[in-house]
Amino acid sequence: MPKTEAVPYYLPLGDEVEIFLTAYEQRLPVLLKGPTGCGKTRFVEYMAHRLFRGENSDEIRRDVSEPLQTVACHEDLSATDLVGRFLLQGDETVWQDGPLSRSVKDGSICYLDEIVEARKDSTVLIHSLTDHRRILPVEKQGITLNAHPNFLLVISYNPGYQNVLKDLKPSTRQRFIAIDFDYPDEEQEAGVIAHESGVGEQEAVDLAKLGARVRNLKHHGFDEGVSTRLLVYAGQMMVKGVTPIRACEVAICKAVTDEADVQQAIGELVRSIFPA
Amino acid sequence: MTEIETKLRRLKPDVADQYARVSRLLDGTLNETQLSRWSDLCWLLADAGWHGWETTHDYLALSLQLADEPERLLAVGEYCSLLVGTSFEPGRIYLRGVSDLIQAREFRGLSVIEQTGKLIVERFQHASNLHTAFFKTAFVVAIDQDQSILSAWCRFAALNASLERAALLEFLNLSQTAPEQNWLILAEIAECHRDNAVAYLAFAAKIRYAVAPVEQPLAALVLGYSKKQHSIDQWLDALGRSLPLLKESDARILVELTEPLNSVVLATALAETAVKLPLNQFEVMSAWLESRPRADHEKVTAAYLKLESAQSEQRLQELMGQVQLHEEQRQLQLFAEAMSGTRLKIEAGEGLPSSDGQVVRLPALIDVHRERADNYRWLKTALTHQLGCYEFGTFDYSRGNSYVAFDDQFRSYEQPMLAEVLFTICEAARVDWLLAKRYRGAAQDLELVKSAAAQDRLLAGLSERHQLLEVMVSFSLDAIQSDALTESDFLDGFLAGALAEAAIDLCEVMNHLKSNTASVQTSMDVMATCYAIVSMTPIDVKPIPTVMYRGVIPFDDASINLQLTALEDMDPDFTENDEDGVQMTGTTDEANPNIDELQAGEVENPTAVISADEDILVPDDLEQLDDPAGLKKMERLKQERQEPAETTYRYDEWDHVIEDYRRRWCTLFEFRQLEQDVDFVPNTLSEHRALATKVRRQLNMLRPELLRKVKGVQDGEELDLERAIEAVVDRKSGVSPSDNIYVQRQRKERDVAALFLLDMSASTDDLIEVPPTVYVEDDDDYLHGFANVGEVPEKERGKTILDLEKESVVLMAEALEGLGDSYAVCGFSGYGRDRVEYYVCKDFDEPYNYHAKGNIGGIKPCRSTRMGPAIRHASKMLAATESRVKALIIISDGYPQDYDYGQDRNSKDYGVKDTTRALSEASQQGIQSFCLTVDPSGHDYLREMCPDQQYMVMQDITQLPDELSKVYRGLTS
Repeated sequence: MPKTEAVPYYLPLGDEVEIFLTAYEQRLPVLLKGPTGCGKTRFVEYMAHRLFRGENSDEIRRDVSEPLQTVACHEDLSATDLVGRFLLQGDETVWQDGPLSRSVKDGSICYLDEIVEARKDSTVLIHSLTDHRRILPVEKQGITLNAHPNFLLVISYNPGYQNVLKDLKPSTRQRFIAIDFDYPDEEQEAGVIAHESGVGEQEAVDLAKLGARVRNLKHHGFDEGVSTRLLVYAGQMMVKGVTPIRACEVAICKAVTDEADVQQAIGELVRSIFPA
Repeated sequence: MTEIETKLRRLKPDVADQYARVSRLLDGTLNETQLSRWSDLCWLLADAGWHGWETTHDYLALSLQLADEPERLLAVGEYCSLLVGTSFEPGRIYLRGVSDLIQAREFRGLSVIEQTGKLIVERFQHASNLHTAFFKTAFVVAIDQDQSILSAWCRFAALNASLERAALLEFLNLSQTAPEQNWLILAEIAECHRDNAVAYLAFAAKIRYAVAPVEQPLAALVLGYSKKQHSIDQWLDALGRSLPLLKESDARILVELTEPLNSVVLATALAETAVKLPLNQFEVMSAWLESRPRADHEKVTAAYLKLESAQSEQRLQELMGQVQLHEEQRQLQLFAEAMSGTRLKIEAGEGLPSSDGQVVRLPALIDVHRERADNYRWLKTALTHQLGCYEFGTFDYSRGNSYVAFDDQFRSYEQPMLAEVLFTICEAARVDWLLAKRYRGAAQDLELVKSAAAQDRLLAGLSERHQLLEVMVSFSLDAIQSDALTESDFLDGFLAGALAEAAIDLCEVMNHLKSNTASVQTSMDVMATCYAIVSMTPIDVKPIPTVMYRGVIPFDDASINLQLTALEDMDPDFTENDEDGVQMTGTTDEANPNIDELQAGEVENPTAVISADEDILVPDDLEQLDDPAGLKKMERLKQERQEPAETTYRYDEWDHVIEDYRRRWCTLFEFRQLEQDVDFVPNTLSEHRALATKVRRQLNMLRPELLRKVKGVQDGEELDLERAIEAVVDRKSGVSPSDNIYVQRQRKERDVAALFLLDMSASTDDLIEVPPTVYVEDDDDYLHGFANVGEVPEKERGKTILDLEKESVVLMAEALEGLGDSYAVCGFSGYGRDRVEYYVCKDFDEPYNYHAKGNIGGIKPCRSTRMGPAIRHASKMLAATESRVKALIIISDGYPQDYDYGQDRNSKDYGVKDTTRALSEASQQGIQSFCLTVDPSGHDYLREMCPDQQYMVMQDITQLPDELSKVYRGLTS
């Protein structure tokens, strides 16, 4: 993140910014809970910018070239992927740091997105980093890294996620300050949509209205309502001249579900909200 | 050398040789007279004319075949000699036919053929080609068909023998090209009306491919017309033009529709228009036919059927434009849920749209407009209006600490009816205006629907009061636009003087309702002002016509229901689960008259007094409220739609008495379109959240955590030391090294298919002996009141065995979704061997979606427990999956039984033995089965039935979900 980069847009919905700042002061790891596309990642970006590039940040933090290391966790994400591995380079094996060790060394924020998706060995790995020890053992190299004072671990977790088996273990869960996220209410969401997509005020209000209505349907075939992100996409399509009904069709109806009935019902909603 | 041989030799030496050979063979079996007659016949045939020796040749060949039956041989020869008068051909064909018959061992038909042949030969003496054609066809029919059909054909042919020669010849040729015709019915037709039969035969032969799918009903129709001696030529002509152009299914519908017309003229008319009609919409078609004019003169009706009359065309368009609620119900249901954020149910109801806080009732059939799009718009707008009432707080009016009923409000006026009418108009106007502001898309629809509704309103000929009311309605429908009205605006509308001024005042007052912040209180206030104006006019008790799309809203019912729902939501102890909650509110109507505190002054209501005095009235009313006729209609519609959604299978059944299978003994109907209950799954999950987590956790243990190390891959977490060294060595020695030097850890895969088979027999409707309903003694008086009023409602009576079966399966399904095993959920029941019913709620490859959940929820107790065929069918489904592990889990409540499951109804043996057999068949197909039962005597027969003791008798049925997951683990890991 270059030092000149603009502040990522984030509209606080509650006291999450203050809580995060307080947690960071004490270097308490943070767990962000909330449905897809409600702004968790954006929040972390915003906080990283504020802490490492904002007015109150000190020289050391400003010098960190990448204040935020984001790892999108997936089923096969192993400890090796996080910590690092030996690679063959020319005639020799070379150690390559993983994002987590890089962050631990640099003293930046490491953000593990959708942590439950990752394999068990990688979730256990972060235990020692998230208590008073603040260490990261690197088995392959036989060393233990002491975390930089500025290092902070942030993980995100989506409780309503489809795979019911993937639940965060209490031993992991109970190491974090948990901040709950949810979709903003209609008014705030309209603000976000208007800002992010550049769509007109009326359209933004209507899109937010649609979002709230579609979320009422979330038990039917899709586990989470339409995300703010999708509403923003619809707005972006509209800005470029796609008719509102068509834009919602491609960005929302077809995107949130595959069930024809539900798609039709959302189509009816769209036609009720947007004039033809 | 005999004389005949010599004569033959002169004619054809080959035949003479043959004759000598055959006569030597026959010498022993035929006596002297027979032999000499035989010899004579041989000569007679040979001498009959040009190429006569060919006949003899065939006769000699036949003689070898018939050597054992001298009499028949001679009879055949005699008959043949009758045929050879003009040409050798008929005789030859006859002899070859006989020979074919002998080979096919179908000798019985011969005499019928001979008789009919004789008839024809006698009638057309020298038409040898006709004779030939007859015998050729007759023997084809004789070989292809059985005796009865052959005689039918011969009867038909005999009838035709009185025809012209050319016609008979044509008949024979037709028969020859289509020997598989249904001769039985054709003969029957021919007996009634011979020309029809031939015409139909020609018709069917000409467009065989088009007729084949409808052959039977069509022939039945022809028979019907023939019985009445109607000529069908024109009809067949018309059909001949239209049938080939129709799809198979449409052709079937055409024939089906033709039947009730009962007239060949009308049938012709219909056949002519068939191509233009929307035959695929059966409901539309039959309704259209139903409304045909029943004039004495058929021409009128024929014109209607030919779409020539304006009335006919209009009716068809209307019908095609109709919108059936059940077609749109699902999507409107979702739409309503999305808009309201609650589980408002959409149902078909009689009459106008209405809602009571839980259910929105809409007309089952919408035919307000001609075009479908307009009708759909009407339907959607009607629904949106109802939803608008919820969204914009119509029912919030009395919410809060002190409940005030709408009725009481109205009764505080001198003319309560007028107050209610005025309020209804104001409130509807307010909701529509707010809707239009809030939803720009809906606003467009509303505008159209409103203007259509406004056109129906008339001022002429009404009383003063009604004129004023109509002005208000028109204003609410935006038919009176301007905000600044003058007297002149109303002059055209019959209003003048003081009345016009009053109208202006009314409109000005109603303008308040257009404000963004107008609430239900605003409506009340506006109503009060309007009341002051309108009540000055003379009383007119006639009701004014309702604005159709706005329907009628029972304000009090709806707001009470909503309050109750809100209370339950607030107080989790109020009911144990969602299911009960719904029932509680369902009792509202029942309890209504008894809630004194709730509706102060209700007693003054004359109807309430009546119902208190005459107890008999109450149950009647209740019944109506509880079970609206619309519900029944919907059920019927549902069933109608479900009927065709079945496939039939036949299964063998093991009979231990005869120790053999009874072949194709049971007919199994597989249903896939089932009744839906969408609330069951969410309710179960919310009720058993803890158990669901437990089941999930248990099954989670099945998830293969073990990782398999795969060596020698291009990418992985670790280096494979050996291969890495090898690679280095290779490179040093100048060989190009392999890239595959990493170790990867891969997860082991599960490959399991499981089928849950639920017993849906009537006995599963029994209650479980745990009383789950506990009323909360609460200070809320009216809630308290409910609990004590009347009997405990049907649904609240606790859980049935089947409920528990379903719940267990739901919990399993939720857990299995996560595990990734493929699974199916099916149910079975039935009555008798001809009707084993098998319901597929979720097939292996179907997603566990809204539909599947609804199916599982919709399972209901039916009739018997014929387990064998159900297990066989389930095995078949399982075997079709290619999974390595196949598990069949049967959940039942007793031994297999059915009214004809074995000779002795009281003996369990037959059923148990058959089920045992079915289970062992399954295990032969590599399917592991497991029986779970709640029948305490289950040990007796399950030990025998289940292979390897794979069964469990549950003491406490409430443990079913828990046990089920254990069983599943045992079976599949």
